[in-house]
This record gives sequence, structure tokens and C-alpha cells, in this order.
Amino acid sequence: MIYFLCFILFSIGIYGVLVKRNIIKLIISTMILNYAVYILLVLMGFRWQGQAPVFAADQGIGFMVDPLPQSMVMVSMIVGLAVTALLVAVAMRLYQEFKTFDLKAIIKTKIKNKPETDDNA
Amino acid sequence: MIMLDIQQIIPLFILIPLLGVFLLALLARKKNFNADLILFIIVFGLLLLSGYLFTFKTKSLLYVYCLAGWQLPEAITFIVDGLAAFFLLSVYLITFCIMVYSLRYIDNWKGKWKFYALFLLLLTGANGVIISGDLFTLYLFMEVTAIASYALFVFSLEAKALAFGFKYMIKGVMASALIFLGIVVCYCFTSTLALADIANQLYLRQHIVSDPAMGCVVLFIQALFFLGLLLKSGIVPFNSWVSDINQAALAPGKAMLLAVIVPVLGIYPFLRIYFNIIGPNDQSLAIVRMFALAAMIGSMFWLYKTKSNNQGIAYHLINEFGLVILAMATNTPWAIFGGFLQLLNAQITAALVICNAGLIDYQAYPKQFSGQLKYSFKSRPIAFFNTIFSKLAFISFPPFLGFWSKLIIIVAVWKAGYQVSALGAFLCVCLAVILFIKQQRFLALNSRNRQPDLKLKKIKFSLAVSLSLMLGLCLGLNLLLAADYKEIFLKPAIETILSTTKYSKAVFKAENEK
Repeated sequence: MIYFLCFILFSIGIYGVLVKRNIIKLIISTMILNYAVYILLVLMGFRWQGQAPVFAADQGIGFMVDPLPQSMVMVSMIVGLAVTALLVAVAMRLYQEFKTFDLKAIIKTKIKNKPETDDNA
Repeated sequence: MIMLDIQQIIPLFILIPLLGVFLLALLARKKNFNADLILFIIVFGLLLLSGYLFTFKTKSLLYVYCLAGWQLPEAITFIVDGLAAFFLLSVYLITFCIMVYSLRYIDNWKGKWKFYALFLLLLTGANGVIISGDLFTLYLFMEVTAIASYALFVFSLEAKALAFGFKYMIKGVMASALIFLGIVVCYCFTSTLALADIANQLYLRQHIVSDPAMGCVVLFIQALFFLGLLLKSGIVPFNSWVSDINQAALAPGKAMLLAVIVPVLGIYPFLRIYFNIIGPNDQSLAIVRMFALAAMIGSMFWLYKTKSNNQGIAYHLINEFGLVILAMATNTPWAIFGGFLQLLNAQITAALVICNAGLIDYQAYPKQFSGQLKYSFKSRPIAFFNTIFSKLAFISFPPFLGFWSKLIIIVAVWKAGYQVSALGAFLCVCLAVILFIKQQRFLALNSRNRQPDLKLKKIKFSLAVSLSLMLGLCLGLNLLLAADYKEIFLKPAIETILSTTKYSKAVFKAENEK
């Protein structure tokens, strides 16, 4: 059941990326998309009543949780954070330039109607 | 003469460009700081190193480097085999030319060292993707490459670059999420991340244990990877960002993205995962061939519709990559040989034609020139010759390499018994050339006296040298058709593709022999 919820979250993210035109909503959709995969990965490494993967005298290897998915999620979250920061930075520049968050309107009306011989100095 | 140990060379492909990024960032504010020199030394050094890999060849070109002395399958590994060595060399041949071009081109924009730092970060990621021996490292380097490419795309900070760059980033994030999901499912199924070990596990479950869930899970993993890689490589129907790049990014940036990053992030992982890890079968090869043909037909449709010079280049390039995939999916030595030649030709001609088209933006800066300039032989002989020959090389006019590679592919596909595919490829190639010529002629006619008052700068020496180098490569790479050169540079890559999942055994053997 819980794996199915991850799938639903992933689908919501995909829906947002494909359908939404607002820049902020698009960024949030990509975050939902990424978090769905992170949660799935954490669930894969989960073990009921498991113990930390640290060797000790009273600890059997069979009860340890798998540490690899956890470290993978940590690294992926950092990468995801870097990408999100870049997305937000570009979104801010876009808003400064066009005073709107609607990506479709920016591309359809503002960029395509811009005169071709603009001075960009 | 000092001979470097091959195992010590492998991590240098990541360390050297990364060191360059730090050096550029540290020394940027110093007076008399020469960023050009650092970039030149690093890229030239890596070009020599990638060529040096081929001189080491003993029985088979396969070297494994395990990080921190761990053993496979637990270790993080970097692997250089025939396929990786070919991609490294092709990447550095093209990167070197683009780097020479960007030395003076980027003078027009602020923050030159930042562009160079991103350029080297892009190379770090590309090298990492090529040599990484496990899925998660592959994913991480893909992300490094992607982040650098996003920043390169929007580097000019012009409105168009920002808007199209944002679209490109969203598509990139979606592709990464799909690939990461594929890695998660793959890890759940095989409990390992090392590529060689995954191939081993999948083979065991398929042929020895006969796992009933095998077919569905492998199909799901394949679907996730291929969808992600398709988005990354911009092949039809996910082609919109490729034409966006050509409209918005700076010329050296878009040359890097289309000629280096699309093959490294799209075609290389496809070849590695499909042929060496999952292993092809007749049904899946037929589907890939059909898909490649569909991509070629789709790109022709877009080529027919567009009236923009930059978009025309992008769609023609997608057609070229479609032919590469068709050749690889034919899975015979001659078709794969043709496929590699075609890939090399597509990369170099794309870089050449994009850099040549970028000349006008450089000359007209800070104004924008709309349309295509007709250079006259008397006033600008270098630009005149380059424009003509780059377009001829791009449409694969003989004796340029593209003509022979296409001929080899079509004959090889026909001889392999796929006559319909061969005929389809032949028609697509011919039509794409006709449409491209028609579109270029249309632009040339339209551009007459459009901006007669526009003052153009002179073309700098490094720009002319770079374009001449690329043109020379387009002709010089015909040498690869000779048996001796084919044996050295292409045979190891062809053998890697044909070895399919035996790659796993070879990697474990090479690691034990260390």
C-alpha cells in the first residue's frame, strides 16, 4: 500500500510538470517528483524493527537496515537541492524580466513578439 | 620515457578538470590571471591522455580502477573499455576545437572565467558518465553534467536563454527522476549497483534460476531508463529542447551541449545499459530499430516545418542520431562500425556548423543579426569557405566522412536482412538532405540586404583556427576507414558492443588480474 502511495506522489509530480504553466508550480512539481523517488528508496531499505547498521557485540547482521539506500537518498537530495536552487534563481530572473510567472505567456507572447534587432548591450 | 600506469590515469579524467574548476575560481580575482591558458592546458592534456589510452592496448582494451582499494562489486569503480575509450577520444577531439573557438568568442560576454569553469565542470561530468562502473556514480555524474549544462544554457542571461533554459531544466529534472527511479527498481531487484554485477545477476536469473518476475521487472527498468535517456538526448518526440538550445544559447555552449552532451548523456548510457547490462534480444532490437526510424521520420517532419536556420541544424542532427541508433540496433560488426563513424561525423559536423553559424552573432555583437549572412569570397574568404564546406560536411557530401558512414550503415542494414529498415533509412537520409538544402536556400534568399548598415567585426585568429581544425577533422577522420586505424580506434568499441553481457565476466577478470 505504502509503495502505491509513492507511485501516486510520483504521478502527481509528473502531472504537475506536464500540465502546469506557472513557474513556481513547476518547481514544486519537480520537487514532488524527486521526493516520491527518495521515499521509495528509503522504503526499500526499511526493515521492520531493524537496527542501525553498526557492528557491535550484541548485534546480528540479519537485523540491520540496508545503509546503501539511505546514503543514496542523502546524496541525491543534495543534488536535487542544487538543481532546485538553480531553478529558483532562473525563475527570479524571469520574473524580473517579464513580471509574470506564466511560462507559456512568456514564451508565446513576450519572446516570440520581441523585435529581432533588439540591442542587448 | 616515463610510462604512466594505466590504472592511475583513469581517475585523472575526473580530477584534472575538477582541479581546473577550483583553480579558475581561486585565481579569478588575481591580476595578470590567464584563464585561457589554464583551460587550454587542461583540455589539451586530457586530449593527449585520451589518445594515450589506445597505446596501452595489450590483448583487449579493458582497465578497472577500484576506489580506495575495495573489490568489486562493493567498490566504486571506474572502467575504461573500448567503448569508453572511443567516447573519451571523440569527446576530447571535439571539445578541443570548441575550446579554441570559445577563447576569443566569449570575450564579448562578462565573466569569462565562469564560462570556463562551467565548461570544465561539464567535462568532469561527461568523463564521469563515460568511465563510471556503477549505476549510482553514473547518475551522479549525469547530474553534475546536467547542472553545468543548465548554467551554460542560461549563461548569456538574455530573456530567450532564461525562458528556454527554464524549460530545458524542467525536462532535465524529469529525465533525472525517471532514471533515478530506474536505478532504485534495479537495486531492489539485484541488490547491487555495480554495472558488471547487475549484468551478472540479470543473466543468472534469466538463464539459471528462471525467475518468473524477471521479464516484467526488466521491461519496467528498461522503460524507465529509455524514457529518461530519450528526454536527455532530445530525440523525437522529446526534441523541443534541442531546437530551443539552438535558438537561445551561446555558440560554444550549444556546440558543447549538442555535439558532446547529447551523445554522452543519451547515446552512451543507452549503449552501455542496453547492450552490456540488460542484453539485447531479437524482439527488443526490432523495437529499437522501429523507434530509430520513427525518430528519423519525425525529425524530417520538423525539418520540413521550420524556417529557422538554427532549428534546421537541430532537426537534421536528430536525424543523424536516429541513424546511429538504427545502426547499433542492427547489431552486426559492419553496422556498428558505420554507427560509430556516423556518431563521430554527426558530433564534429554539428560542432562545426553551429560554431560557423555563431560567427555572425560574434561579428554583429552587441546587435543581433536576423537571418543568414551571405559572405562574399573577396571580403571574407575564411568565413566564405567555412560556411560552404561546413554545410557540405553537415549534409554528408562526399568525400566527407558522413557520406561513407551512411553508405556503410545502409548497406550493412540491408545485408543483415532488414531491407525495409535499410530502404527507410535511405529515404530518410536523402529527404533530410533535400529539406536541409531547401531550408538553407530559403534563408539565404530572404537575408539579402536585410541589415545593410550593420557593422561586422573581423573574425579573430583563434576562431578561424578552430573552424579550420574542425573542417580538417571532417576530412581527416576518413582515415578511420583504413583497416589499421579501424583496428586501433574502433575495433575495441565494436567488440564491447558485440560482447553484450560477457562484459560482466571481462570486468571481473580484469579486476582480478590487477
